[in-house]
Amino acid sequence: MENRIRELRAIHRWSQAELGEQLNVSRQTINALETGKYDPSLPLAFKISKLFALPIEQIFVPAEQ
Amino acid sequence: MKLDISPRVLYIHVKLPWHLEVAHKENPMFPTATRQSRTALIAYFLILLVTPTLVTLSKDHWWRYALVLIPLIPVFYMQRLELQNLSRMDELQRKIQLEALVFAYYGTAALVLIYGFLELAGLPKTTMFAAAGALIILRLIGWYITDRKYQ
Repeated sequence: MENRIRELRAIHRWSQAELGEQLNVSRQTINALETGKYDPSLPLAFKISKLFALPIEQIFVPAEQ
Repeated sequence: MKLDISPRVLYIHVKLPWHLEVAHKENPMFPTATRQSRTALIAYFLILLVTPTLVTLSKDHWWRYALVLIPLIPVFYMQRLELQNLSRMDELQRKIQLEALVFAYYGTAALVLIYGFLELAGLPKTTMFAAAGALIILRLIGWYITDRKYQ
């Protein structure tokens, strides 16, 4: 699955640590999400969606699309 | 691991590989968890120092069987701490710990089986304590490998 977290984080000018703090996860988790090494759980995906005020499907895109 | 004993300080320094230190420190509960684990570890070593003497002194009494099991108290405490720490981790950290535990579990099982068969072939008998050591070492190796995967 691909995502726009890095792009959205850059728009808000947040560091990985700052974003992690807001989502209550570690910087390593943010990095793993951005590099596509880890796909978030549904609750975390909803938290990310709420934080960026965007629908989930505008942040996460299945790899085949 | 360094044991530093002075009149006012009893402290055990456990040095993790650098990137595990960084990853673990990102866990907001790290300082509390480390302090508690350190206390449990110190208690374990102190009890280990005292228990053999107590067992020798009470070798003709039935309670020596209970005395030799005293070091298990801090071990159970460490188990409780570990479970508490796990519940405070974020989902990726939990996944890393789970993969490390699976690595350690099957690694230890493989080592025990391998050495068991080698004993049948003539290698000297070993103690069951070795399995606990292997489990801890393989857990750390598994943690290191899995953690690198998500860096």
